[in-house]
Amino acid sequence: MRQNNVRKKIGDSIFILPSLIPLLLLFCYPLLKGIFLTFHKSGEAGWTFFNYITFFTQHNFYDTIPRTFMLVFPASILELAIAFAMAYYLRKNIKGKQLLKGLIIFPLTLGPLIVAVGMIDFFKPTGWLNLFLMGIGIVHQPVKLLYNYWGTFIALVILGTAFMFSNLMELMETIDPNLELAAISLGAGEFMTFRRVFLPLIRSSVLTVYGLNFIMQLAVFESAILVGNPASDSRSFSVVAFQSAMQDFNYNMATTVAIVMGITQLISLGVIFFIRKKGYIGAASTFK
Amino acid sequence: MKEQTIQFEIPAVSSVEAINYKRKQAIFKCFKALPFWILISGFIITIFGMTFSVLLNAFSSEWYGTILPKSYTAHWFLKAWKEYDIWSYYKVTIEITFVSTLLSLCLSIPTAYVLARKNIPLKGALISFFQFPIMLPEIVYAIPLASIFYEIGLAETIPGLIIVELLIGIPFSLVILIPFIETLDSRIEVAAQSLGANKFKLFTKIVIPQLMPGITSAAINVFIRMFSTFLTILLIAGTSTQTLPVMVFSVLQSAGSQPAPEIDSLTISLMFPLLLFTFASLWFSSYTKRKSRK
Repeated sequence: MRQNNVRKKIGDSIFILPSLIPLLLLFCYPLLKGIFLTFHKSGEAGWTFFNYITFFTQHNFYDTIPRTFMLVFPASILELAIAFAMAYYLRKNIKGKQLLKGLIIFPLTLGPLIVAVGMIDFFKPTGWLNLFLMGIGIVHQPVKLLYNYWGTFIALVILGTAFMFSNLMELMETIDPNLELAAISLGAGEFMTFRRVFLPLIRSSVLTVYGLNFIMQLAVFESAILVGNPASDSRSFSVVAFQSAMQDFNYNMATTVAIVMGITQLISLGVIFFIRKKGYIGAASTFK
Repeated sequence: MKEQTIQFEIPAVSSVEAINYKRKQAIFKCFKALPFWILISGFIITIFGMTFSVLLNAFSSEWYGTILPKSYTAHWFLKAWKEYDIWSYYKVTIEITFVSTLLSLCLSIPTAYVLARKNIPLKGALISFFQFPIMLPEIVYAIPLASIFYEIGLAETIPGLIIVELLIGIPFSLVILIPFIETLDSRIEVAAQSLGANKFKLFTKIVIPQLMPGITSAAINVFIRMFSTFLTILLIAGTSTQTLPVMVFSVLQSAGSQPAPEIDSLTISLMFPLLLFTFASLWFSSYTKRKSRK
């Protein structure tokens, strides 16, 4: 009987293989090979830390860490604020809610490439935004928002807000509204209910979404190249890795940069999850 | 039995006071909602402004410093289509994504079924492993993958690109299909087996027909994702096997030499299929909802 069960389980497991094998070959093997590549100098045999030493001693390499953080950290905080506020308001049943949701998530469909082109047209000195600002009289000279720090920053905010909003919207719909109603019926005001009931319930999931978004944005590439200044202000990890691979043909160094980026992402995620652990983690919906 | 009527004492409030109170409440509500509306409309207006300025710029003959272009022309658009041979890029891209979507669906349907229905060892670990390629940024595995592909000669070939796209296709179809299969009624399958259907028949006659809506939505979503995949293809595609997004990116990178309307025409050509598929997926999901209600 038990043997039969075991055989059945193995028989079922075979159906996992068609999708597992391609992923092992295309994903795990390159990852392992990448780690292997980082310990070899380009074109030479023998194990060495040369690439890592190069990364952490040469200014134009280790500089990418603070530069990327300078871009992504402020952007991600702003994204969280905007996305959370929009999702919190659209939680209620408002006319045209589905349409508004679709419009806010729209940049995700377009992707970074098209968003970058759209930004070039919209934020350029003669673009609509500058015409509007000068028309009102806030500024007298066109504001330079492209091909510098702000270009990449805006692109990050547009894409990150859309991503976070789509996830937060789903999260907020799982929260049992009865809990809030109970708080209100017991005499809590709207702000108090938000602070004491809603926020503690959603806190852990919000931090998870924030963490995912944060590590995604650390890998910023298209926005950094097309609307930023890849030579200085928006010299992110991916830009450097890509340049090492495609211009210097040094796959070893390129992979090293990518692996350092991966480690940075893991550390960031670890920090965010550490913060997450300090509060309530659990279900926000009650059994109905 | 006589019903007892309970009478409450209603405090006397003059109607003027009540109206005033209501009005104050309404104004207060508007004030509270105002910042939210400013945020939402600001965000949406920015997105709209970006999209429309690309559209207008592609079809404008001259647009400098005015709110709307002076005159419109399709000249740039046609020029871009001729010069960059967009149609051939379309063909290559759609060929690759279509084959790859089919492949990844064929490979992932059995897996999704087993992971959703059966208790196999390491189930949780497997499900999280399949989501790994979605979470990790492409560049971490794309660079070593490119070096491997160049070594074995798969780089710059169509089959190579199709294989690479599986990295997006398989995880995404699983993420969509597993929850979908979990919502299906498993008793139908048990009934079929008790009536003597073998595994193959069970799959072709029972599971797949029920799965059709899930498969379609997975196909549309995977197709959109693949169509806009970019970094991995950029590292592996040569000049002869570029997909549309990669070509647009290379043109943009060397911007300055091309007139802006031409670049915008390229971008519109890239945007169009994405919009088409997005509307298709929206229409499809509402269609299945309507069908399930009946």
